[in-house]
Amino acid sequence: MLAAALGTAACGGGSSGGDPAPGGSAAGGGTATGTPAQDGKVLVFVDESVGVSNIPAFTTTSEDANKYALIYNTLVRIKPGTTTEIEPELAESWEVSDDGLVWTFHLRRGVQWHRGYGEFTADDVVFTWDFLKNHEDSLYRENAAIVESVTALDPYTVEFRLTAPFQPFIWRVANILPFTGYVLSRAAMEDLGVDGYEQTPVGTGPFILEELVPREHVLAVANPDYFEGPPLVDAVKMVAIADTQTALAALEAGNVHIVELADHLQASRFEGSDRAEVMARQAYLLYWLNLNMTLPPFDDPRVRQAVLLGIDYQAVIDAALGGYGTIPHQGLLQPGMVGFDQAVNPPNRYDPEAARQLLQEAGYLDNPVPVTCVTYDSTLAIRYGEVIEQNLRQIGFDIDIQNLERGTFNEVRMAEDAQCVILGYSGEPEPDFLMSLFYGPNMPPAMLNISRYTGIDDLFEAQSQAATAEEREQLLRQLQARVVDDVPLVMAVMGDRIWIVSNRVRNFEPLVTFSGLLFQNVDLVE
Amino acid sequence: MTQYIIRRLLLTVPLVLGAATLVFIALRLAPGDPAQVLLGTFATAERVAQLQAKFGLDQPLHVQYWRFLVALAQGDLGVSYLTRQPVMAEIKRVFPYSLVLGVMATGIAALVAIPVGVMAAVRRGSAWDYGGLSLALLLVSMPTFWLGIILMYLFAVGLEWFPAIGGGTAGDLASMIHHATLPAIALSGGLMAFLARLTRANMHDVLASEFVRTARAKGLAERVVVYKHALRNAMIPVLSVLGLGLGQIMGGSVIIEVVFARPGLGKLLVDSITGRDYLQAQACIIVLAILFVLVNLLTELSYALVDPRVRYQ
Repeated sequence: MLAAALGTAACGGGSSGGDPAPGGSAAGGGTATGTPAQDGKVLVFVDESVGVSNIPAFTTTSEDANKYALIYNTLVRIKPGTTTEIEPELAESWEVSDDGLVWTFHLRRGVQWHRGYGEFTADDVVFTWDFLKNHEDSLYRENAAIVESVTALDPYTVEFRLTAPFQPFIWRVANILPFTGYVLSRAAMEDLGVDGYEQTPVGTGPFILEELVPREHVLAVANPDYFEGPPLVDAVKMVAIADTQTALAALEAGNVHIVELADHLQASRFEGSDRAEVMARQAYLLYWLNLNMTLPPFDDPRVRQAVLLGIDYQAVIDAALGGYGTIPHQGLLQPGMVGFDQAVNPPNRYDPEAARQLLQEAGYLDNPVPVTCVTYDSTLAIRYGEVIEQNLRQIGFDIDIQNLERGTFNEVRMAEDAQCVILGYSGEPEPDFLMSLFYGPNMPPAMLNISRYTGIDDLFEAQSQAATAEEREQLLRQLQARVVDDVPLVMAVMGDRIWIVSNRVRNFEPLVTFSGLLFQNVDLVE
Repeated sequence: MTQYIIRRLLLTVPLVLGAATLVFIALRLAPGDPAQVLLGTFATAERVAQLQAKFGLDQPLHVQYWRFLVALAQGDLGVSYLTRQPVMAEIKRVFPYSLVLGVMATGIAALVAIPVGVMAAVRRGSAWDYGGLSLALLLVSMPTFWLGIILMYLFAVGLEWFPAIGGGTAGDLASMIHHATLPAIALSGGLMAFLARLTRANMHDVLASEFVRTARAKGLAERVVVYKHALRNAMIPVLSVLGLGLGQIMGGSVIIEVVFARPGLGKLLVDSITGRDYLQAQACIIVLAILFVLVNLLTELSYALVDPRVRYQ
């Protein structure tokens, strides 16, 4: 999972689509040059890139999420405007067995695949999970391993049997990362092959992919047969623009309608504007310092505590985010996430005196060990780094925060002698993945437990196998308390997501999660 | 002359091979790995290793290099790690945008700079001269991206004469020219300033030469002396700079391509390098090397058009 607003590794791309599929009528027809869609109401929004692949099993970058939300559906989805409320999408209802092992979904009838590939049925869900578990290029084989079998009980009922109880399973069939929830068409895959499917993806979603130009744009035309009713615009175009200034100029020139800001400081330009509205939502744009607990000086818990108390969180939000952020909570889980509990996991506080005192007690002030923190070089990461470095120097740290080019950063952060690595993350309301980054077996080089923390291993394992939601919440509460005590990381920033939306746009509901924007109800007026 | 052209074209082979080898080594020396970049920050080591093997990056460097040379000899530059499409397809797609931008930017630069340079030389010390020199100084001092943003706000956001972003519809020359106008103006500034000064200096030297005095003594009109006799002689260095400028703009305009969110060879190359899309980056460099050789060759051949004394052997 990548930090969308912090800048991502993938610089765009995908495969080019646009040819009518052999299996049916490509709705909208023709090419992007002068299609009826382009002459009609085309909603244009800016994304950092157009993603990596049209097949969800083949990508882990959050930029693909918006594209998938256009083309595909999931069995359930996050209710827009909420973080943890789940509502039906391709499934109408579902139930879980008492032992938590069997999840049964009752599917919506009459949902049609794009390009004439027939009706969506339980067999397509079986196929999708077979693909996720067994295709050699699938990036989600580990995520799918929790599922022992998927069976179509009848065309409209599908049963998942898990290897062990797994409370977060509902999120595996929802519209978030990991992208295991998006359902593929068996008929289309058998007809087109993987390469063909990559070129002309077949979903059930509100829009049909018409054209994809790598590194540049995606054009998707309205699906007139969409099961929730046809979209209000004729097409949606997703344009990759790397430069925020350019994106905003294009919005002011009327060339684009929605821009998600990668640079929060630009929002003030549009506050009170009659051309566009600033829509900011508290989100999980997280940014934290992994402190290597096996190396000096962070092998001493007092030094880690000093970092926690030594950062002026409000100053970071004001200087780097123009005020568009929230003081984060130290215990990994943030407000609105599944299992969050403020009683054991309060917001971080800034107390430079106490921090200095701790450094004094640890003997660090007399014998300072130089600390190098590495992070990547996005606009926000550079700004966060400046404030954090200044704060920590003020309390007595001999610290240097280095912003490295992405490729270099990916290598340096895995080194055994990496003392402090700052990571950014576009979080989801389900904390399973976030917690896994601090699970003992996930240390480098295999994974990113750079802190080399082992303190929550028992609780992490127990919570994922809890039989009931209540039992899991109880374990998550303990886990949060333990992270707050142990400080294997310092959660430094929680940024908002901000969209600048043209005043021609109606009914746009920004998402708090990184689930992909939903455009079926969005309209464009003159 | 044909022999000369053939010899020059044959020289491109070692040049391209050298450039390709350099970029092959440089990319692999840079830290970072294509599979890691593609799979994202949180990919497991197992998945990264799996993808490296798929791309052949688990092989020793000399094996990778040998495979690259064999494929290059067969004219196969490979498939992009990112798009899974042949790398040449992407280059063919963006090439027209770079060509239109390059030709327009050098064209605008030449159309403004040469007359200004000539006027400044002919009326040395006049308001024309100082005005032209001041304009050149102003243009060369302006950062391209800044000029680009200013032009965008004036003519795309304010007056809405030109689109703010994009390269225009592929195959529709009018649309491509419309989209390339602002970026081409922004790019032409630096070259324009250099060309104006160069034209002025050369013209000044030529105007002081004996054949010009002879032409004037023959009673030729001053216009004929300046434009027919002097200018043609002053043009050879100007043509060289124009040729180099065209190649440079086509391959090196990444900043303006980012500012105007338009496709182009420069942006493709930089994107490929930051994304560690080795094969795409190698292909870009090879195409740019060939482009430079061809543009230089054409420039040299054009010398004969302005100066009939030039012969190729």
